[in-house]
Amino acid sequence: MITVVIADDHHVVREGIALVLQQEEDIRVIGQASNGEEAVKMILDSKPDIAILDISMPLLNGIQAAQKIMRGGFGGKLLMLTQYDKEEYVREAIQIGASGYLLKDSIKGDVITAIRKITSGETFFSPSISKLLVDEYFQQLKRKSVAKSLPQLTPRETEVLQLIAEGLSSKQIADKLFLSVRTVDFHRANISQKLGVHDIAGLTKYAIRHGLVKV
Amino acid sequence: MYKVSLPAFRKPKVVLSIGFGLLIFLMLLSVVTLILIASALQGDTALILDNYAQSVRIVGQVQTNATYLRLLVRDLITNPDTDRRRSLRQQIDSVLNETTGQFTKTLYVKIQPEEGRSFQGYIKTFDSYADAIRSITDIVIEQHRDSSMALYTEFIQPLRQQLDSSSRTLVATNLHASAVTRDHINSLETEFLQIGVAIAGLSIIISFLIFYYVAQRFRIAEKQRDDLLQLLRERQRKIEQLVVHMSTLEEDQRKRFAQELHDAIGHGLTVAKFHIDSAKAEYDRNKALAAEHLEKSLATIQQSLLETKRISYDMRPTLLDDLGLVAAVNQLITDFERRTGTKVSKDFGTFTGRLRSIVEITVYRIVQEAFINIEKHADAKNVSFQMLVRDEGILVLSITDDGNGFDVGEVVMEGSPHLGLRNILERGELIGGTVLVESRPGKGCEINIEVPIDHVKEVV
Repeated sequence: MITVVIADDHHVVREGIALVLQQEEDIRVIGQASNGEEAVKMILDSKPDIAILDISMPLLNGIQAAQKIMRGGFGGKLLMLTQYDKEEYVREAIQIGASGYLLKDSIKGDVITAIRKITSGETFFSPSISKLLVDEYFQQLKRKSVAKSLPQLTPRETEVLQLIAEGLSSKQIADKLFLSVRTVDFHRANISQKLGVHDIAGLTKYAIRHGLVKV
Repeated sequence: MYKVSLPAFRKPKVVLSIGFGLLIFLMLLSVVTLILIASALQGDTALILDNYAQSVRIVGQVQTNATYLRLLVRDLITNPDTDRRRSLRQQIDSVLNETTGQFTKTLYVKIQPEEGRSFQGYIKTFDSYADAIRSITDIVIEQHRDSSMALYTEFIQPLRQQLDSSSRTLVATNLHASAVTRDHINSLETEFLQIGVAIAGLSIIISFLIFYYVAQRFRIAEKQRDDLLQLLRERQRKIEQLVVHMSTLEEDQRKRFAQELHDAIGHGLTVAKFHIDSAKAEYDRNKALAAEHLEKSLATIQQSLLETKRISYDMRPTLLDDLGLVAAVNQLITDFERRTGTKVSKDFGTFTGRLRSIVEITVYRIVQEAFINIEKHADAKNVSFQMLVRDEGILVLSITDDGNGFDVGEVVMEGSPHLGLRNILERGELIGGTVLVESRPGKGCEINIEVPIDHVKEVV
């Protein structure tokens, strides 16, 4: 027998899921919660095999509730439920340790599959989410190949740093780059922040060492 | 809309002027008192001088009497007539008494030591003279006329001379003393006057300096107050503008929302209803057609559902509430890339905390507006985004593109139809931030934003 707790602030959604699960012989809904705090208490008390958590909930949102549940030593599986197919939610859910991520659009078709898969130790993501995850993965691969160990300066910042190293004042740099002095000072402050170097001598040294100016 | 009002700034200048005026008046009063005292002293001195004059007068009379006495004595000695001599004797006695009376009268005069001595000397001399005259008179009365003449020559004559010289000394001393006293008083008076004038002058100068200093301070304070008021008025004007602008913006958004609601959901539901109605009607006659209608209605509902989600997320990005600014902006950029096919190089630094919700939503809207502008107008190949927090607690964002660019002055100008950039500037101002926009036609655009974030809160 697989025990399930459903947390969602919409009564209709909770009832809908419960109705779908009722038709399965070996799945039993042992509790329903309408906000994050209630969900945390209920899940830690009744220790279900599967906790279905909606992300957007009052008092404590699904992400915060999931963090509390995991910290509270929850041994079951987490299935996150959401309206939105946004990578940021998925990323956060995976980091917390959710085993599945289900879009509300596809509850009817997918919820039973999801429960069965994650019960047997696999993960489940709604099809449109899977596509996002694959995209994201490729993006990260691409990014890693260009990542540098140096603090990354934007092209504009590199340009400004070069001119600082050549001994130009903010006013001169502004004139040369057709920028306002305030914009140049904005970039200077960012360069200093990124490199942790706050004087002209240090910035010049950095520029020379990294080949931005010829000595 | 709120009004800025400051408590009325009372000018204490009048009060101060009165205070200082009083001070100066008191100073002057003290000087006047000083002068009055000095002149009173002078009156005293006048009395002393008067006494001296009187004593001199007495001496004069005594001298006259002395001469008269000498003549009387001579007459007494030489006159053979007994009756005449008796009357002369009486006359001599009365003159002697009268003269001694003069001395007692002068005794009340306050006399200084030197003058006192010469006066005492004079009295003594006169006493000897008077004694001599009495003795001679006695002898003459007892008929020793010859010896009397000898005695007269031997005693009266030199005594008389002594008396003369004594009187001369006395008068001279008196004259000298009065002159010295007068000089002394005069110099004292002058001194008093100088001191008085100096005190008065000094106090006036000090008072003036204090007054000038205080007035100067007040001028500065007033200037600062005016500047502050000016600043407040300026801000108030800006806030009013913003409020008007925001309410216009809100109305525009409502209009757009109403339109979208109608287009996406209302229209979708109408179509779905049509298909369901048709399916119901066809259900008994043509099951295949009914199924087709149901299929179409499902597709329409699915489409409306997507639209609804898009509209609702657009109105309030839930990511912002659930995960914060970094996640929401990251998502915004990912959506932009997916929609436009333009790559964005992004750098979020190390900041992962949460900010005040007004700051988060405002910064989010700024970034959103900037990306909408790029999508609509820039036709950019490369877009870069970076976000970092400087140590001094300033959130920094840069959005740069290499697209068409524009004339910043023209776009920001009042009445310009391009509201996007002005929205960005106004929103930045709303949270106390600075927005720097750099662009020229054909040279891309960079938008740099600095927002002070003193209320950073970490995610729980």
